[in-house]
Amino acid sequence: MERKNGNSKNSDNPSEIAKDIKRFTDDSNYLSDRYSSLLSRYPSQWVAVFNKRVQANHKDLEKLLSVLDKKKLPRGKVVIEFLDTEQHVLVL
Amino acid sequence: MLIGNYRYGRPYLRCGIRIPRLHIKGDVDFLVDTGSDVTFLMPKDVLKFGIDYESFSNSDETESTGAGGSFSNYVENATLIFLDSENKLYDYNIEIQIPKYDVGNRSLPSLLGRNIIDRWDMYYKPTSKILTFDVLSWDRVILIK
Repeated sequence: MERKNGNSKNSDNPSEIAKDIKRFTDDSNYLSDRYSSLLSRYPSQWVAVFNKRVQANHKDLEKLLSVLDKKKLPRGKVVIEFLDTEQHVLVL
Repeated sequence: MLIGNYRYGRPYLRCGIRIPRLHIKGDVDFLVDTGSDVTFLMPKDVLKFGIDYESFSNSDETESTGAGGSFSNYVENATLIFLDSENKLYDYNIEIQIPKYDVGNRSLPSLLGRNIIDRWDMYYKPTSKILTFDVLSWDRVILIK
């Protein structure tokens, strides 16, 4: 079975795993640090961040994922977030 | 030491994830949730990995209770992989809970629960935007050279 998650032959190599986690952390920090400005630019939309860039945005998650597939980005390694203008209170 | 951060005031920590039965290999941004007994992979991330919910038709199920009431989860064996500031990879083998898809939970973040957090000491200082974890135990550790 093949998943659209960006697996590579070396994905079980510890150095590659560490490299992926570092990049994912950088992308997540990029999103966190710019949350307010991204919220203004992409209100009530899903955004996908990879290599410290917003690679796609869309109001529909499935369509956003399709864009990532078309761009051949490894979506399992992409930071995806819904920028919610209503900022619901989370009680988890 | 593991280093997290804050997004819209909420504490996050990211890691690698492996779910062998579903051939999942990737990375997840977890909301750190000390109020959760277990760890949840939410629909947003399930869809990101391209998992069809029909894949869970033979999975074990559990019931959970939260502020929103009771809900059902699928259960899968997973490994979470955390990278510390000294370039060590820490593996944790857990049963991860996967809530059934619902319009109301599709934008919620995945939750890192106490089945992982209790194996660390956490330093939580949101006023200074500091979020760190000292690792106390693990299932496997690898030092990256």
